[in-house]
Amino acid sequence: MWNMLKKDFLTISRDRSEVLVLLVMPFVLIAILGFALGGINQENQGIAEIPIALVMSQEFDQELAAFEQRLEQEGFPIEMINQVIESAEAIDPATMLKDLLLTPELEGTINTEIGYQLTEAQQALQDDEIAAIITIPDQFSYQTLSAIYLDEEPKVSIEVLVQDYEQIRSDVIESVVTNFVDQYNFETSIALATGGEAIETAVNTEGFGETTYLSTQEPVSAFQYYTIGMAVMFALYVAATVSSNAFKEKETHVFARLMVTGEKPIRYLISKAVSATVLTALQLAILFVLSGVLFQTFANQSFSFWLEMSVITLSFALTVGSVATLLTAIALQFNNDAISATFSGGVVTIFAFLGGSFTPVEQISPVIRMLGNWTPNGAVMTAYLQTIQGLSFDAVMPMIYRVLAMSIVFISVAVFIFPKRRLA
Amino acid sequence: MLEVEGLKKTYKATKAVDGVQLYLNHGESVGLLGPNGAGKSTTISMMSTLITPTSGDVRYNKKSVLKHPDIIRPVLGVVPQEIALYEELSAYENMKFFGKIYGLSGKKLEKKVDEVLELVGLSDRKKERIKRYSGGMKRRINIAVALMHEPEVLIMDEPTVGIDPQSRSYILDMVRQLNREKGMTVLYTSHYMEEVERLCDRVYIMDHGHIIASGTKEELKNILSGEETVFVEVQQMAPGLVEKLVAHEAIQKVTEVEKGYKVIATKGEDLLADIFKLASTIDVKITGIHVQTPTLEDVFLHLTGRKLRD
Repeated sequence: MWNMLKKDFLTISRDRSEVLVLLVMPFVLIAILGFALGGINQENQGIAEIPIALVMSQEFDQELAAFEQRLEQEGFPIEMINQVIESAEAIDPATMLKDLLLTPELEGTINTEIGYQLTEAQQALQDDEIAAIITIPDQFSYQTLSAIYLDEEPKVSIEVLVQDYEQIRSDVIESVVTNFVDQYNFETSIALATGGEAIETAVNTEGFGETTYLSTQEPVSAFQYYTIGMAVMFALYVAATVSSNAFKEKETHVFARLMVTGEKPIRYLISKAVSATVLTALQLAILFVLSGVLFQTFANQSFSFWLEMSVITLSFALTVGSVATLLTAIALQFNNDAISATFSGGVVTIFAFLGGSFTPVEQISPVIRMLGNWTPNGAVMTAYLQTIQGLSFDAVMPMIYRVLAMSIVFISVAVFIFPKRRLA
Repeated sequence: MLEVEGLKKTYKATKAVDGVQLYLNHGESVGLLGPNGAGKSTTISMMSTLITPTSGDVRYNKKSVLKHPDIIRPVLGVVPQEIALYEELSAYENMKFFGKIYGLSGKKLEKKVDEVLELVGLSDRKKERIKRYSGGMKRRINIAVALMHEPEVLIMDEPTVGIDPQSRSYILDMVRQLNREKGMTVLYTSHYMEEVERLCDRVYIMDHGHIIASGTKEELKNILSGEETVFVEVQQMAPGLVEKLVAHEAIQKVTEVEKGYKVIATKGEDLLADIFKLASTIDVKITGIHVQTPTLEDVFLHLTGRKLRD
């Protein structure tokens, strides 16, 4: 396999036109777009501040009084009731969520308005004045306390209504709320398991502030955006290059020669997947490093950031490898390289547009964004940008699962149609 | 050792190969002679297990290689008609790549690369990329790659097409050396009868997908034992002479060649005197005349009515 990989690497790297397309062109475009659109991007893009409305449809004091009354009806001793009510004030989820959203650490990222009524908030959402409404429904605190202390099934939950055409903003809000709920449930479970003694120490707003994965980094810069955009677009050309080379091997009878040696067709096909995967990973790494070194694109990033970027890069490289495999199988089976030419001449451009390589498509249409996220490049571009924005890796994972699922489909189809033993 | 039984290959309505029977004994050098489009390459591709025959079988040591291709692939070296090499890689890199595919590694691989490069006479140019090589040099590396694993059987599909006489001569000597000194069994296809005549012990003549004659060179030439070939060199080409020659009862075929005509006629007649007489009747001056023993080209012409390179 290493032998085949080395051969593919040498033949492609010695072809100047390939090097131009795979490395020089994306780098030049990153530089041009980064410098040309730098100013615009800083102002109009990124997720500098997300305005949201927190609608409180309940009064905590009333909820607490109702809960106290309930405990009395249930016949709990008065001392125990006093202790529970005292603890309840500290673990009220509605108060804690409000505190979290107003914490200074989220300043610059989320701007929470509290004064809205639900109908006013809905109007504001429609008018694009806010990006989301988080509603604490009536009886929320009462139900939550009943769930914790009386083991009852809660009948209400926090409602989050987001504008769905800006994926990253939606993801940020979703991430904050999901993390809050998960962490809350986790902490209260521990507290209950330890007989309630740990509630006061375990549940505090600072703790929640730390456990949300949202960071307060700078918005996505033009260089970051176009480094990712161009890299994922030009990575797709690796698939076309590898499949085109495979077809050339058939045309020049090298493929036949390989088959005569006893080389298994399936091994040959896998070698194409491995070559394209390694070449893509290498290409992306070179582009990221060059952009980072020359334009300070990813300055002062943590080890975990690079680890997450590496996981996304490897997943995408694998997907490009699977696309290369599929194109190779089609070209060799039908003895026609039109598929590689069509892919590099048209499909890549369409995918690049849908995926947002040229411009953030969520600003054009939510449908385009949705379609883009079903292209390999669009899905990983979202994943890269989410990582750059500091979203938790859990939020990024769905896109990674998506491209990995695409890889499995592409490889399965390729193996199915590839000639198994002989050429004719 | 290697037998081909009733091999057929049909592409839609076209019969590319139609019932070919042939065999190769160990250490033999066998020629497969035929014009372009005769079905030689298709036959070879089926023998090499590259394409599936419509019917028939190929057996290696009595076992069907169509059912078990892995029994022949390790002992088979195939030199395709095309330059099946990576043009962007050097000769050395190409040979190392294919050597590794054949399972060689380490010092054994390095030694084999050097040995084969020496054999094809390109040791001093091994670091150059194939695309910078001349046609003859490419052909030599094309052969060299097939020799990396010391095959028992070497199948060569027109290995000298489009190269200069010096490279051709080099390749022919090399093939002879592999056959005579290393005992390699060779199946050599060509439409150059002089190559087959020079290299091969036995010859199969193929045309339109069929084997139309086979045997040793002498056996094949004996087909023409009752005939002789006469070359008539004239000062100026004269179509009228052809008409008169064809009308002669002893003459079977007249073909135009450089500076004159090639005449195949029945032996035993006083042919030369008649040819002079016929030429003088239409004032054609004969500048030379000689009688030649039949060649395989003549045999092919006799069997098909066409020249090998028609």
